[in-house]
Amino acid sequence: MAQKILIAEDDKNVQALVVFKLKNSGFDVVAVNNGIEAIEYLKHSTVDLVMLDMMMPLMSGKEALLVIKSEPKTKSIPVVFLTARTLEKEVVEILSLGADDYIKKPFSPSELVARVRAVLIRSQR
Amino acid sequence: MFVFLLIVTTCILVVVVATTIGLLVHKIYAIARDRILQRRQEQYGTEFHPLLLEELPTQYFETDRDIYLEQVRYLFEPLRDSFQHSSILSRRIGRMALRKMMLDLARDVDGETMYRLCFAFEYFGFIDLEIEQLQSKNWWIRANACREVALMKVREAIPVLTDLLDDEYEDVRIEAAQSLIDIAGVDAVYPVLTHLSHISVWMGIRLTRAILPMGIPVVGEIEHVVKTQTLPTMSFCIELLGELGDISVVPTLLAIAPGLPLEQQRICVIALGKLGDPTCLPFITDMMQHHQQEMRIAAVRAMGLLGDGNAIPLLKAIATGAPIVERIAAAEALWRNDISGRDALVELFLSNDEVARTVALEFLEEQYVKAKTTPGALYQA
Amino acid sequence: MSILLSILDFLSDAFTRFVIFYFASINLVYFLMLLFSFLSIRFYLRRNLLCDYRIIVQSEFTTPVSVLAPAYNESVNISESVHSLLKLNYSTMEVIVINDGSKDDTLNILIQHFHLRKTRRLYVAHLPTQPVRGIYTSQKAEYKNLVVVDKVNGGKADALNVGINVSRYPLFCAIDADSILEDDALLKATKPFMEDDTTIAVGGIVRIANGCTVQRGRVTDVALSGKFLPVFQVVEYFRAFLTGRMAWSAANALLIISGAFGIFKKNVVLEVGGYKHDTVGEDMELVIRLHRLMRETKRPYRIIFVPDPVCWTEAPETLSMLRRQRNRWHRGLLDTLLIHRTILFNPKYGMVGLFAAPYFLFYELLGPVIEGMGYIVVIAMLLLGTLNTDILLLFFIVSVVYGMMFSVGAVILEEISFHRYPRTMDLVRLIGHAFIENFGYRQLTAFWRIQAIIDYARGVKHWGPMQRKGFASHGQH
Repeated sequence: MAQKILIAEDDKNVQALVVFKLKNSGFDVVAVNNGIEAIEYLKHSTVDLVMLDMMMPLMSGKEALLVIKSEPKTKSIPVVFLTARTLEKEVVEILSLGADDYIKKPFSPSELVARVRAVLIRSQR
Repeated sequence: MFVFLLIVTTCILVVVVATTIGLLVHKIYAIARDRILQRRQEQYGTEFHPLLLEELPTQYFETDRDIYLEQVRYLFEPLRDSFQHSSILSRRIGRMALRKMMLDLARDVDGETMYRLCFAFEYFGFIDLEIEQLQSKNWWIRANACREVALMKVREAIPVLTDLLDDEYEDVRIEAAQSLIDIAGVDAVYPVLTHLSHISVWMGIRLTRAILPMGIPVVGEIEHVVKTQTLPTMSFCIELLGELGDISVVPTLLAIAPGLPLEQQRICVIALGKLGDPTCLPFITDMMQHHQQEMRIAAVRAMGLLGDGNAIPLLKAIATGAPIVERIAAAEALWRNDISGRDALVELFLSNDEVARTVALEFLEEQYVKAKTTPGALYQA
Repeated sequence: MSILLSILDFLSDAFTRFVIFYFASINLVYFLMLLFSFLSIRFYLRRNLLCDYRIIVQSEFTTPVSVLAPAYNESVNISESVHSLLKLNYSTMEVIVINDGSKDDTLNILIQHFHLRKTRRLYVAHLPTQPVRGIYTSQKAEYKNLVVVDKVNGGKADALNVGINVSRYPLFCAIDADSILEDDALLKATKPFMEDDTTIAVGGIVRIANGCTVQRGRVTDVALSGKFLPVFQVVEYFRAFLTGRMAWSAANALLIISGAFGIFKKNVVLEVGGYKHDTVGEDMELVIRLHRLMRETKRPYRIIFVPDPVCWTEAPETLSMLRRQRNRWHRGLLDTLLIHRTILFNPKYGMVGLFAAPYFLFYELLGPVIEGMGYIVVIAMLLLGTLNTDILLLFFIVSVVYGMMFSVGAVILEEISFHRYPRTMDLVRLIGHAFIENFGYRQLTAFWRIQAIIDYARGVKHWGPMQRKGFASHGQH
């Protein structure tokens, strides 16, 4: 069965691009527009990986990460960040809050898929 | 007189009412237009993204660019043809939407996809449009076109951008300088930096973002600027050298530092601290005795950054007997220095000097909050 | 008897002429302001509409900002407000909440909610203030940018001074604890400081949140309130900010930066001695003091209004609260102008002394008085039967019709520049309110402002705290 990825990204263009690339690489993809929708979705379905943007309306990626990591049900889902915030201290902060990987924009779609695969393999071990 | 006023008022009233109605019509129109544009963008998204991401039969990207480009061209051809068959109006809207989408994407993607995107930008004929806009009569269109060509790395724009470095509007000059560095890389650094007459913090932030990732190759260029030029862009270049962290420039900086104006000298001291080369220790020590407080604080900070054990007694002396602002700076420097610096701070905390204790505590606490104890508890034991 | 009548007639005629002349001049001034602000908004938009603000977030070299939020008895929504401040987009910033000796449990709520812990951080009183009882920081990594200061009550100005003392960064942003900053407001408002290092203060636009949907400390849907009063105030704010402040800013003679959202360069504010705590108009007073310092020491400087970083605030919805607010504002204006009366018509202060201050004196401060007298004279003439239709019509045109046009002008300016109200119906209502505002609402606020002057003369200093409804109560899902 294909592995399921939830992606929260407010930029429609980037969202569509990533969704297409991931689907093409054999994943099952669900896209939402902000952190709130992501949390809502996670309440009643399970996914294998969550991909978050940092700056989103309504609820930022950081807030969503904190919620995901504090719920026992979603705690073990790996989280990958895809964001334009490239400051070292922020990368450190996000990783220390429990994120599994941090992809900086501008990103290469092929690299993104490779990293997602790597995170998934690591989390299954 | 009265009649005149009445007429004027009526006229203004009519104008206001007309504008209002016009505005409402415009609003309704704008809402509709945005909706159409949005729809078109989504539609192109679904058509365009596959082309951008399609895995090509054999990966020629690394080996043979010509074959690779041929393949990509073949991919995009149907979409371009579909434009040629549509009506003029629909083509215009379509091209507008496509161009906007491509520019949006260009900010966020990288790698092979970006390469393909740039190719598509050229293939759909947008480069000519950009070059045309670079020469527009309106300065804001010129400035904006500068940003766009930088996004798409349009090398054809370099000559026009070079001309725009002397544009009459500052905003255009700034954008052109920025774009040149973005497009031409290391080669553009020297000409651009010597050409600019002033670098604001804002401009500096943008330039550093482009220049810092260039790393070691750019150091020589900037050192060259620092050597030849004495005025406006100097502080910025010195700061950059500090950030780039190549200690081969230390002799140059030490040589020019004494002759610099105060503010630039201060920046130079901090940059030397960041570079962390022990040969500048005597110079920074001298600066700690400077008659200006700001310079003394900068020197103390540089000492902290330098992280040399020999500086600890000096810093400790400042932390116990100087104006409060300098004491705080010295304590911070000790805190940053290294393990023995922190030990010195602990000694300060245990001393009888009330102010020294609080100052030391300010930084010690940060460490112990993490360890979930208090410095007091630790040293009572 | 007839002599008396004719004298009265002459006097009233002279006064009518004066009032009409006054209105004519005010209209000319307004027209120029509208024109200036149109031009400068257009210039601003051309420069900044396509600016990539992400650069600021991505750089280590952006000027760091301390956000100061004084809180007094805000326990209802303090944690919500602090959350919304902590998630502002910026690279390096700290949020300093100053608990100004609240009588409710504001401090305890903060301590519990954010896992605060008392630190022995050094408090250096660069500015003299009421004593500080404690400085708190959070134990949790996600709130590491939060600092809470507990102090003895001393008013908003004193709380801000404490905040300035505690702050670590070269810029500070003074806001009301209960207003909502948009996520990118700081990015947009700090840009002028970075572009030009002579900028010493920047004010942002304050918009009215009544009627908007607020979710998790963010305004998610912009709409007009269904009630009359808030919508009148929306139009009023457009006029004050988009036409008024934009124009004064273009002339570098901006005298007010709203206390709800303003960013200042710390060292200059320290140089003038911080906020003055014995006036009700501390925000305007500080800005004028900054102008004076820079002009007196002949240093180049800029005080700027930026029209698109938005601070949403809750406007009073009842007449009595609105009256209190206006009364306080007007007393603040009067007090400030009295303190700084030396700058009036003083060529040493350039645009500020020759134009901005007199404008505030004659049109903002005394405007309601003259307008009120105009209404009285017209009514008196009507009763005496000496009113001629020409004069009445003239009075009507210069006072009401032109007033309407400038309000509509402000609404149009908003629509062509930022068009934040997405619905066509809201635009129609705004324009409608801009028309009817001149029948009743305007006279009412003028009346309150006259009252404020009388109160000031009688020495009434306080009106009691404003009651807050709280953002949490409306539109929360």
